[in-house]
Amino acid sequence: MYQEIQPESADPERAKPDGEPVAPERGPNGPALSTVALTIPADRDQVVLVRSVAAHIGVRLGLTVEELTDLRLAVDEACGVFLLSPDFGGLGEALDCRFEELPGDDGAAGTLVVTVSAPVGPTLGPDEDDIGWIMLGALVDELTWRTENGLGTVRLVKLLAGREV
Amino acid sequence: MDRFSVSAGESGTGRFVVSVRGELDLAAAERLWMELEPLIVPEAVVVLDGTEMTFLDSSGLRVLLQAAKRASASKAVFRLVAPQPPVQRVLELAGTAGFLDTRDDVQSALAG
Repeated sequence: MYQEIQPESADPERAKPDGEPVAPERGPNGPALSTVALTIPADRDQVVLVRSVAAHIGVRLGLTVEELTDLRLAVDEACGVFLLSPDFGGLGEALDCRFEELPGDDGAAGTLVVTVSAPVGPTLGPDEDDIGWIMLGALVDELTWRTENGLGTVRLVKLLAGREV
Repeated sequence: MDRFSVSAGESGTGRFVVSVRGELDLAAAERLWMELEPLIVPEAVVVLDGTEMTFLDSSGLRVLLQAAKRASASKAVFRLVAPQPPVQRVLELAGTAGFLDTRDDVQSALAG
């Protein structure tokens, strides 16, 4: 259920001593410097696992305490988009969470991209007036929702500016 | 170990302290409302002691706002003590200052 893909490739030790980033590694199917994938049952009691993984990854990326707080809250709210919706399938479904560290181009800041996906009906989507969705927008650098082939995805982007990853 | 616990005690007539420990998230929010709702009756003072509440999300916040609204409609008082930074962060993000009566400690929340 908990899967860490290519964990070595994001080792901070790989950065050169002067902080200059090493050439980004690419996975066979596109960019995948380091990806962590986690699938949880669609159960509110399991969201704590997603928060824990987010905190672990945030520590590894050198986020500040405040940034860690925001990241934990952001992933919690992203799961809530599904789990709090009366239109969601509920128990029996699963939430797929992915945490991807992507390198920036030409020395630009890298990013942490978090996606939470689950099968959804046509009516399910974030309520843009909802306090959870509004807070989520304030917590990350980019927030999007999309549905494709019956799969709904919340995508969060956090810029990793100003730190040696 | 339980990630969330809630307990209620009476601190003088019509004055209640509801203590929340741990993470008030979407899994715990309903349990808190079950504890709070029966206490919010006319003239009651209900203090949510979140001194040891370490996490709050929008589900938990909705319960706090619902309690404040119920209190206001019932001529009761609902006050919040929630000093932990992750909780303060949510209150700040949501801009709830005008809706939630927050105090620095339980003692001052029970007074007046």
